[in-house]
Amino acid sequence: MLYIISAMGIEARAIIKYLDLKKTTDRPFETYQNEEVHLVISGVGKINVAGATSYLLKDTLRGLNHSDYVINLGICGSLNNKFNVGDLVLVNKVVDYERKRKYYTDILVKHNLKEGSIQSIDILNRNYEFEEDLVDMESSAFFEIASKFLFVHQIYVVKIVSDKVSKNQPLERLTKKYIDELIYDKLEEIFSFAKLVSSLLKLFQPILQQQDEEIIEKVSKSLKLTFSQTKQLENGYAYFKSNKRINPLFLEEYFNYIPKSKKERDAIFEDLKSKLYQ
Amino acid sequence: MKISNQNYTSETFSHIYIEKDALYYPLTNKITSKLNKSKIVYIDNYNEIFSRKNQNPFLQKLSPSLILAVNKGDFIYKGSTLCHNFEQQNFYYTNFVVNCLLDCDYCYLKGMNFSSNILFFVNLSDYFHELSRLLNVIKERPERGQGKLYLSISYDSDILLFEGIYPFLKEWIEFAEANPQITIEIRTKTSNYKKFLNYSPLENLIITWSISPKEVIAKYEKNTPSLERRLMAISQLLEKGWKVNLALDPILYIGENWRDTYKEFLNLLSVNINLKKINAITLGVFRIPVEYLKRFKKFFKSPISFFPYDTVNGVSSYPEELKSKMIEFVSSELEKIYDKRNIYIV
Repeated sequence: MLYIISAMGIEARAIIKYLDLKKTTDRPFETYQNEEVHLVISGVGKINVAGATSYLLKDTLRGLNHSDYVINLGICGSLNNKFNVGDLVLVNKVVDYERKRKYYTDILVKHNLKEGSIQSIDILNRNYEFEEDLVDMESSAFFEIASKFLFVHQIYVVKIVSDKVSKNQPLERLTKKYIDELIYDKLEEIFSFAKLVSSLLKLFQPILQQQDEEIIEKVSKSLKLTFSQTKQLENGYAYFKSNKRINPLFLEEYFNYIPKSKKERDAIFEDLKSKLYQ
Repeated sequence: MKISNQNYTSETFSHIYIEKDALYYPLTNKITSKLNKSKIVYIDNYNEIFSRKNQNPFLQKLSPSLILAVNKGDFIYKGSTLCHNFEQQNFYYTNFVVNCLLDCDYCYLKGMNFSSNILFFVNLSDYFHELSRLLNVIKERPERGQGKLYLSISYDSDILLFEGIYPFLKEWIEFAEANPQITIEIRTKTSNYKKFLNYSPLENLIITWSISPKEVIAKYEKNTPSLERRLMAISQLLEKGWKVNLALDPILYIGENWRDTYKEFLNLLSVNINLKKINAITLGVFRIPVEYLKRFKKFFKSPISFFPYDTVNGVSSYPEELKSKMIEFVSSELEKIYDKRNIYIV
C-alpha cells in the first residue's frame, strides 16, 4: 500500500484526479483512497502533519507491512541555486530546523530524480539560517512519526520547488492554479519512482507469511502446544521453508489431531519437529 | 560493483554519507574522487546513518551506501573469545572498515550491526599512533608475551575488497615492516592477491583465507569468489613466499551427507595447494551470540538462521554432540594431510 501525505488540498488535487481516488472521510483529516493508495490532507505545519501521519499509518504496525511505503508530497521553497522553480526533488536529508534533528531515508532504488536536503521550519518568515537546499513546514515531523511505524527505506519526501526564497525579497504569493499545474506536470515522474519503490519492497517478504502463521496457530491449538513449543514450531517451520523452499504441507495432518495426554502431545511434537529439521 | 541483477536497485555506493569532520582528511578526497558518480550527503556523526534502529539490512545488501567518518572512539580492541588467539597473550583486532560487500548467510556482522552500509574510518594515521603507543606499553612489560602483539585488521570486514578505493595496504605493510614485534593478520575470502605482489613477503604479515566446500559457497556465501579462485590466489602467494593461514571456519552442518562434502573438500585442498607451506589452519563450527541470531531470524531467510542451536553462555551453536562429531571428523581427516601441530581448534 502507498500512503501519501500532502499538507494542502491544492497539493493533493492533481494526485487525487490522476489516481482516481475516492473521498472516504472528512474528519479528523480529509482522506481519499483506492485499492492501492491512501492519501490524507494534513493541513500546514509540523503538528498537523505529525497527527495525520500517525492517523494514516495507525494500522501498519499490525500485520504484514513490508510492502507499505509512505510519501510526503508537496511544494517547497529553494534556499540556494542548486534547484530551480519546477524541479522535482527526492529529499535525502531532512532537518528539523528548530530541534536540530536530522533524518535520512534509505534510497535503495535506481532513479533519475534530483536529490537534495530540506529543512523544516515552524514559522513562515525569513528569520532562519539557510542551512539546507530546500525549506518546508512539514517533512521533519512527517519523517519522525513515520519512522515509528516503518523502516527508513519505506519513507520518502518528494518535493516540487514552487519558489525561490531570498533573505532580501518578500515571500511570493502562489496561486492555486500555479500549484496545481506544478504538481500535475510531475505526476508521471513521481509515480514512476513510486513504482520502483514498490518493486523493491516486494523483494523482502518475511519468511513466515500470514498463511504460514495461520497453519502454525491451527497446529498449536489442535495439539495444545505450550508457548515454548509453539515458538519452536515457528522456528522449525521457518527452517523447513528456507531449506526446502516449499511449505511443510504435511502439517495439515495435525490440524484435527487431539492428543490424549501431555506425554502423547510431547511425543507427537518431537516427531513433528524431527520432520521439519530433516 | 553491481550486486543485484534487479534493474531497479541502485549501484553499490550510489550514496556516500560524509561526516563533516571527515572532510578534512586527504583520504576522503581520494575516495570521493574515485567514486565521482555517487551522491554525497553530509552528516554530523556516522551513527546517524549506521546505527539507526529502523533499517532493513537485508535490503541494504542490494544497494549498500558508503559512510566516511572519523573514528573518535577506540582504535584497538582485545580479541574476542569466539576467535582463535593463536596462543598469543596480546591478541587484538582493529576495524578501520566495518561491514562487507560479501553476503555470507552465517556472517556475525549481520547480527552485530543495524546496517549493511559500509563504514570507512578515514583517520588511519590515528590507528598507527595508537598501535605504536600500545607496542611501547607491551615492550615495557616483556613478561606479557615477550613484547609481541598479534593484530587482526579484518574481522569486521573483508578489507581487500576495498583496496581499490581505500588504499590501506601500503600503509599497513610499511607499519609491519617498521615494527617486527607486531604480527598483522588479514582475513579474506577474495581472490585479490595481485596487490601483494608489489611488496616483498613479510614474516610478520599473515593472510588468512576463509575457505569452504563448493556446496557451502554456492548455498551460503553469496557474492564471494569460487573455491577454485581462492585456491589459485593462495597458491600464487605461497609460491612468492607469503605466509598464509587457512580458516575452515565456520564448518557448517549441511545435511546428513556433510562428511562426504568435507572429505571431498579436504581432498581438493591437498590437490590444489601445497599444504606443507601453509603456516596454520584453524577449525571451528558455526557459533554466534544469541542476540545476533535474533536479528538473523528477523531479517534473513537462510536455514542458517533457523537451525535448532543450543545456547551456552549467550553463544548459540550446534548441539554439543553434533559439534564434537563435526570437529573430530574434520580435524582427523585434516591430520592425514597436514601437520597436526599447526591445526588450531576454536
